[in-house]
Amino acid sequence: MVKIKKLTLFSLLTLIILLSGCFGAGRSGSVTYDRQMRRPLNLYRYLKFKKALNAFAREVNRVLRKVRVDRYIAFLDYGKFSLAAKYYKRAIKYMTICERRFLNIEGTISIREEVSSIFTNDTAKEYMLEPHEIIMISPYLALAYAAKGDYSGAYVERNRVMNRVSEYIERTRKYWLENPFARYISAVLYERQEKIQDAKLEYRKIIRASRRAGKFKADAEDALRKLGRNQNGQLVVFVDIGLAPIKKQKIYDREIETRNGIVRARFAYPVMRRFARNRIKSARIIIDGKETGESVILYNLERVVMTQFKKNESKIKSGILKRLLPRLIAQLAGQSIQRNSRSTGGKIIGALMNIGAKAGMAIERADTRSWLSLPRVIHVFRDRNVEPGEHTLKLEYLDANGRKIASSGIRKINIQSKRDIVIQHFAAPY
Amino acid sequence: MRRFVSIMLMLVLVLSIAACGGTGSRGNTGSRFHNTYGADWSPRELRAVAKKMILSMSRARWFKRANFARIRWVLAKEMKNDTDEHINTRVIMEKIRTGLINQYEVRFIDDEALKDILRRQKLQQSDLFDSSTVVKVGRLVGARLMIRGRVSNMRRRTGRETANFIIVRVSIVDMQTGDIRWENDYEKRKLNIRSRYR
Repeated sequence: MVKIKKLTLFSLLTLIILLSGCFGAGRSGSVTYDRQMRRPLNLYRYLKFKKALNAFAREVNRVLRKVRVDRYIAFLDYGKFSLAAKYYKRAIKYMTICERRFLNIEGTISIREEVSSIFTNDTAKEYMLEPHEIIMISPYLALAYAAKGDYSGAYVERNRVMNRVSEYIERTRKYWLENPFARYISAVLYERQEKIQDAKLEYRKIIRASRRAGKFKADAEDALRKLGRNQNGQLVVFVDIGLAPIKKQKIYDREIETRNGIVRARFAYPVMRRFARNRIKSARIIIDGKETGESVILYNLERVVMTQFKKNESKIKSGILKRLLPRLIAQLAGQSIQRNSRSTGGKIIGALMNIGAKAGMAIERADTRSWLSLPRVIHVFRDRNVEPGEHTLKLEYLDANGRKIASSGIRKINIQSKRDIVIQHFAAPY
Repeated sequence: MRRFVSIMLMLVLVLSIAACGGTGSRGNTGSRFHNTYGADWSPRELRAVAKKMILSMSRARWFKRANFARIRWVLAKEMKNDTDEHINTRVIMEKIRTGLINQYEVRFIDDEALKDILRRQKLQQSDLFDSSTVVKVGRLVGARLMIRGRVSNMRRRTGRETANFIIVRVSIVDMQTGDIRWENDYEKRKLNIRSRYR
């Protein structure tokens, strides 16, 4: 009698712990981060930046108060939305918080989250930014500071960009992460500060990287040729076009026949998919009502995201195996105990182990989190001949046939002197 | 069977205790102060820079003569920040000024005058790093000596380790001649190793 009581107690404890594992990270039910973000992201995609921010505040913020592990990745998207909506102070605040957090937790382990993830899935852990995502924070911060008119802040961010590039690309020789966008911003800011040698170095690195990776070479070569010889004010416009690929969940679910009975193997894994086919292909730049030129591609982020995902595949597979194997073994052991045990307690334990393992499989979910508002490609436009004074700037977004699809609002820019360089950022994720 | 059950029970207990564990991060540098700032610029550096610079300045031979002659000083609005941190460099300058006024009764012109002149001349703070501009501005402001400076750093992150080498350079420029009358550096190497567990 006492034996049965002990066994029942043990099985109850196991069940409680299995269930508590599900709530270990404070994640509620089946809500995933990308699902929470669906509405704000769709609004953002259709160029309704302020509405996207409101939707974010209404729907996502409410959930995020409870889901601690997704808080910082959400702040990052919020920062990016704010940048697009021209709320620069807010963008700076949230992106800075995130950068600090991700650099602090990089390479560290939370035992609590690790244990929770064994019982549940990888989404119980705090999201660690991928290297290409970490590199992108400082350039956007530099853009936000520049757009705010605080160039000393932008120079500090430029220095941070250089640190990140050296840390993640140059020292580790991970050249697939090469980021011409970050380098171009740095070069322009060096040029603005009249550090011509540093600017030259960055333009050269862009040109060298272009042999491996893209079509942005011409603009960088042009910039290098005319470096330090400019006779007038300059305007540099960066345009985020489209949305970077996102992770989607795929589920493998099979029943396997073994000598001891049927076991269920179920696991979820992420795959990379294009967010949507973006219609905007480039931007026409209009200064003071006159068409000045068209943007050219500077950085193809889509390719980098895909490459990085391929590099992560082995890590994802090992994570799946880490959870799947104990669950399969628990199922087999549970069925065996249930069948062979003569006591009621043994049968209960067997049944509970079987149910526990299957429950674990049922809540298995792929980690589909990423920085969702990153663009697919980044375009650049540069005008080297803008007279000092106030000007108006407007962008018309064009499709593949050169037809106008949408346009940005009119912005006022102020070129202060003949050696001034003004930097502007636009988002066109449609 | 009983043995198996007790092992399982122990394992479950260990895992559940670990799952309930806190998530706080710990630096291995010891004090709470280090954990807050890590390898970044901190109030400790601010105090150390001001102390070193005031002491070094007051020991210079020209300082007593300048003070005796009641020469007027002016602060550049802020130091040039060449670091990868957003440092309020104005505070460093003001800390030095406060020390000089309180300890040595140095005469300072209010910065508003300098700001006004720069605005009228359509110049920027960064232009004060150019000697010819300094001379021109000096004549207009009516100050003889200007304190200006630069903060720079070299940071290297390797895994959980961050090394940061901070250099603060403060100079005093004669605004009539453009000569640098005095200059000193403050150097500090900061190392922070983050805990593996958070």
